[in-house]
Amino acid sequence: MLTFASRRAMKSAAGTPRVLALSLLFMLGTSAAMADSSRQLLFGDTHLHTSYSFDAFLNGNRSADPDTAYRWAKGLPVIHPYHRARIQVKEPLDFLVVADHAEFLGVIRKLYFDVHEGPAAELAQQIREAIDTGKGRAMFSGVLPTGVVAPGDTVDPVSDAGAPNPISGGDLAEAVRRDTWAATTAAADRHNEPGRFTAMIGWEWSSIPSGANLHRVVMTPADGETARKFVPFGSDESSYPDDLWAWLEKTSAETGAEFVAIPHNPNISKGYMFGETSLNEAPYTTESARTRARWEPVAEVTQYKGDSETHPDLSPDDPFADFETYPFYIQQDRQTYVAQPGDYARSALRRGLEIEERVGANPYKFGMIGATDSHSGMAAYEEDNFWGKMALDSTPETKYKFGVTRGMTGWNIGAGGLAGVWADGNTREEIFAAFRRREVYATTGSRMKVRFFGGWDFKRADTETADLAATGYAKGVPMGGDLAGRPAQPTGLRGFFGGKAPEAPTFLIQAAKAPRGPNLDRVQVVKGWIEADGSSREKIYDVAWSGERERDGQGAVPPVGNTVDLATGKYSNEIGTPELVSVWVDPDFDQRQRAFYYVRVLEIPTPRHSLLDGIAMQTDPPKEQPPTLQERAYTSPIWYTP
Amino acid sequence: MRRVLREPIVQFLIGGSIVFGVLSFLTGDSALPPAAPGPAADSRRIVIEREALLDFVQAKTKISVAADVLRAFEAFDADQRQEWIDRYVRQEALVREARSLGLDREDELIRRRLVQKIEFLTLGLFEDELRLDQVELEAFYHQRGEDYRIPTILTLTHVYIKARDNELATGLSRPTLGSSKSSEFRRAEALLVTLNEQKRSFRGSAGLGDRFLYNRNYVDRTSDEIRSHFGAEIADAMEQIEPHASNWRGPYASAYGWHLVLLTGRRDSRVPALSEIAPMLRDDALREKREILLDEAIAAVISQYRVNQTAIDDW
Repeated sequence: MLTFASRRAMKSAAGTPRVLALSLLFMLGTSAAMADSSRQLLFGDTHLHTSYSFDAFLNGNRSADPDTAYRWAKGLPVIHPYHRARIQVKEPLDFLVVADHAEFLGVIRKLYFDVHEGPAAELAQQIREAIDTGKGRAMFSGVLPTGVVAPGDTVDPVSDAGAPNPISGGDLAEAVRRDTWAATTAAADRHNEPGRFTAMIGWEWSSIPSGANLHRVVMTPADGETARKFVPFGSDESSYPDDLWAWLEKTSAETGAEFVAIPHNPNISKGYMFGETSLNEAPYTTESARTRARWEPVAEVTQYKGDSETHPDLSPDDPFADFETYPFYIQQDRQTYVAQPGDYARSALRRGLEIEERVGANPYKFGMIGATDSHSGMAAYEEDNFWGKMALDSTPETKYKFGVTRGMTGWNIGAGGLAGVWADGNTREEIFAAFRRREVYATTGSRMKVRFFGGWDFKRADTETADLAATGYAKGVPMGGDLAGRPAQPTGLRGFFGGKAPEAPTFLIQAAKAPRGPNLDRVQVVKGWIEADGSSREKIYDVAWSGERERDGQGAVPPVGNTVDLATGKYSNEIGTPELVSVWVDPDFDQRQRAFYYVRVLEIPTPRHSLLDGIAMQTDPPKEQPPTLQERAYTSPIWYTP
Repeated sequence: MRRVLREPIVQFLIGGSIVFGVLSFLTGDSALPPAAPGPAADSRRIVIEREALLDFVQAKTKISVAADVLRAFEAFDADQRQEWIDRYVRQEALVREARSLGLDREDELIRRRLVQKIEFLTLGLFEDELRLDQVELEAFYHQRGEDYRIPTILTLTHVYIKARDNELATGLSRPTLGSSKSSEFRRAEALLVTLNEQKRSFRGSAGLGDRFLYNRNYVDRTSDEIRSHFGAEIADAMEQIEPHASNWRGPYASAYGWHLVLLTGRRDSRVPALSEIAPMLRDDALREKREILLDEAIAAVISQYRVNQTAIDDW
């Protein structure tokens, strides 16, 4: 940070003319900031399944392979694996991670398509019959776990006596998994075009003990040759995330491949994803908290299976918390959904502060992204160009088939989830580095642009500078970063001219609408902090909004309105604004309290895919979710540590 | 036992078996005997022929070599043979009943499966011979190359002059000012003169103008991205003007205000050379060839049938 650099430089420059020192400093500071400020915004999906995933294949995706997935992401026309129409993304992605399930990787596909002998032949025959007679979905449901633990339990769900083992490859399938991994990684290398499109290698570790979703996508910037030195670690090898991290550590040392693990769908983890303890009930220690934070710098907090920012039951004072809730555990039996603090990002970030207060390290110091988790091979994130979670729920008339045994349909699925990444360039290494420094943000499918900087010295005038990013990097840290402790002495120019030490952190925020998308409603800062008794709190601040709206008696900014015509599905940009820029100073800052701050940006209401389906079918809008929604972005937090 | 049950394949098999137990019951569906009697056979008489029984045993045991089946069968004692005969009779009887009900002809599901199976078998017949030579690849390229067109790639920077708020049409349309020559437009015109007089370079305009909501510099970006950020007027202009190191153009209008643009690079939209996209092209050509071969094979089969269309008049 310039402020600290300046203080050090001031001391060392004692005796030299102040003006010279200052100009030298300014040049140093700005040249580094200039380099950072040229970071470009990339949009991509880190979580895409193809027909190589067992569940995708059983649910109607027999043809979309990694090649299909990359072609869609790059904007080429492709054939949909279920309804066979030609489809195309409207705005292509900059990067894609094909993240098929490590368990049974490619095995169902192989069994279905190839001629087999011995025991495999019987299984192959069963699978063909199931799929050909439309019973693949039932077969899939038949191998899901049963919900032995309930939301709110804290017992280890893995060692629970009744918990079935997760499905997996087993010995028979090992050769197929290796071959499939070779094909996947080769496809990634074939489609990777440094500077234009990044095909990052990855997979999904699908641990789901007793129906508690603990899934992680693992990704690596390594090339195919390096990646083929290992076969992806699956939950058949262990259901414990600690074992996954140990494997990553070991494999990284052996092969030179770097990794990050990205947890997703904490919302259906029954409280276990961001638990008070490790999964095996061991309390966090400094060491284990650090290990987790090291391997999991980013969490996927919004995707097809619901939004995991927060839940209305956990944040009752947040009028926007009730968004794309998804109350369906992945298991055979139905179990009443109860939101847990371990299920949502906001409560997890708070819990992280509490644990850090006790053990000196924060296991839940994560940035945030969105992703699709599409199983159709198409990373379809556009609300009006959405093709279902699986393949078979890709048309309005087949959406009812998705998860109907568990009380849900394809209209419970949200169309969206993207990762916005501020990267030095569009290469595997540069995108991976952005994930490591958490300079990423989540959107629910919007391509809005969001910048967020924290520092001690942002001024209102900084919102007017022609190059906002240069100012942001020069005077602060970007999203995902750490605010250093409050300077006891005035710093930088302020100190130079004899000003006062800053009272509270300041934040420079810019949000611009998606270039072809709807206008913005408002920008909010979400703050979480620790009270003296060690408990955590949260508060939401409206910091910028469109139009002439005045705060009401409770200090809330009234709703922006809704232009969506429910009969046609059209909306208008006559409300909202294309851009919101603000410098915000925390009015409730207490320098003794650890805290995090992240930005939430809301768009004006637009039609949900379920409304468009209803209009197409000439029926009432499906009841699963409201017909319109306010798409949004969540930035990675900036943390303050006393 | 618990250990065995935890073996994933076993779990999968059990899960599958349960599903299939139910499924078979519902559909009355089971594997057809490889050598079923022809339609001329007495519908209520099952003749046990050695050949057919051996085929049945082979189908059920999945022993791939016929001679091994024979050896196995000859090693059976009388009870075991009778057991196989009973199984054969049971299946044969049920299949005939199902057929007499017309399930094989009338059931759409079964018809679809039969078609899938024959398509699949047909594919298998020529999968090994499926090759693509250079001539075919080139032909495919000439026919389909356009599908692989690379869009226009632009490198530009711009200085942005924000329109007055009442001129901003909330991002929907061009500011309504060109004719009125607002102060912002005149400021943009004056700045353009300065930029060109001073021959400002790509990097030389930093800090000038207002903050644009998207980027200042666009390096190697597609014309579609330029269109999405600036609108049609600027995107179209970038297709017309010549790139130059210091020749600033404008003022152009976007939905947000006025722009002075320095276009330094343009790679026009083109169809890539065959060598650039050979691997993807080969995959696609093979996929298409496979489908063509399948269509041809099926057409050949269909050609053996006489299709009587007179009945169509009765519809």
